[in-house]
Amino acid sequence: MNHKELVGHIAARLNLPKEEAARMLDVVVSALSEQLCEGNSVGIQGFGTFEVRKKEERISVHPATQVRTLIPPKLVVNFKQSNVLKDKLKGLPHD
Amino acid sequence: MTKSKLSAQDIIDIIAQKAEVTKSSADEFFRTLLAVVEEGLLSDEVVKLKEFGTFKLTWNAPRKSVNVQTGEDFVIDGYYKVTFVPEKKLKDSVNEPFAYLEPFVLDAEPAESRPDEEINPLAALSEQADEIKGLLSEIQSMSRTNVSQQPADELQAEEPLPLPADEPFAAEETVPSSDSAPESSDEPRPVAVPLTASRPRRSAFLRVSIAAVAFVAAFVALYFACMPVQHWVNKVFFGYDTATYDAVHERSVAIAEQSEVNTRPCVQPVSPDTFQMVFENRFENREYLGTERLNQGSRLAHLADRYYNSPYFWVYIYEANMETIPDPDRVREGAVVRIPKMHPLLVDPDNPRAMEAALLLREKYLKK
Repeated sequence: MNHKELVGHIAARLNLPKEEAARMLDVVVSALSEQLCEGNSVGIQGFGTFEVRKKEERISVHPATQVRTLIPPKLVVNFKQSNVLKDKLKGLPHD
Repeated sequence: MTKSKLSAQDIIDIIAQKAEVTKSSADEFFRTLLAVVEEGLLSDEVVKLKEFGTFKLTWNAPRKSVNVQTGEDFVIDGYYKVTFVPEKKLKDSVNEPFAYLEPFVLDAEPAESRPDEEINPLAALSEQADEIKGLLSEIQSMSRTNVSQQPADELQAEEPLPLPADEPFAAEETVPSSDSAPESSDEPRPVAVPLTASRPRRSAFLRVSIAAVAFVAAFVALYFACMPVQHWVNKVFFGYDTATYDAVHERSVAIAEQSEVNTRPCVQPVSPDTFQMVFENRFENREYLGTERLNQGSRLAHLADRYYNSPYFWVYIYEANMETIPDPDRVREGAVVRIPKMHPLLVDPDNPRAMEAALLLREKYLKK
């Protein structure tokens, strides 16, 4: 499901025009992004938690050439599903 | 950066405020969004949000584990997990504080300045190698002469030893030992004619001397084959220790090498100082590439990275904007900085001198 389809689904459910749904979705995305950029974590009940984690710097060794490289620390977004969502997914059959 | 945990309600409030809608409609929208995403996932689909990221399901295969209490094996069922892959834009904006850092290769050879440096050391090295070779051959010839002396010594040392068993020959032994060389040429004869009265004596003596020679030969072979034996022999017979000699020799070589290392910096040629000139004249005839308005999260290093391809050259931006930026560590939001046009020599990330100059300036300005 891509962005357009997502907007279509939401608009259909809420009886909103698609433009309005797209605008709202943009706002949601930018709000979440902003919070994450500030380093805040966002926990959504029944869905999951978005948080920013710091990956420490490390030394990686190229397996073929043995050249060591210092990888700088970085901040990454992490999503952890809530247990409610996990339980819902339990019923899914695996092919 | 205040780190706090926000709930769904906080986010809904923010959305309502931003989109200028009522909280209840924001709440409704947010819940619907989540429900749709969830449904999409449940129908085994990938859900993509533009400029945010992708939600998808990954299957965790069942695996065996052991009950810690009872020690029994049991199987953890496979399950689906929702994974979120942030889009590049989100990734980058979250990583903004560390964006100026770059992987740093630790083992890279300093490729520049190397070729001109290497010519002379190589010559010196080959000279040194010749020297060492000479020393080694000297040592070898020395030990060889030692060995050639050794059989003579040992003939006298060893021969009496087997003799006491055949005492009757002890008296006679001194006489033929002087002409032992011709006797070895006579060797086949005694064996061929063993019946004459004087022969048994001589053949017995011959056997003893052959045994002694064989013994010495074996010893010499051992001497060359085995280092510890060599050391031991040298120590016992010639009163010096090859091991210590070797150590002394190695030390002298090491010292020679060290002195060579010490001379190396002198070998490095002083490059024509156009760089120094450019560096000192960097404030003259200043042109600007453009201006940048600093907003939240902006850093001089980022600007330097964008304009000069290396974050280290932020010092030059700072130099050009000293009146607007009192402290390079804390730039004011909304401040407008001018990006100076630098001589390409100064902002070449591959030039070690440019880097050195930038780092020196950095130290100077950060200390202030």
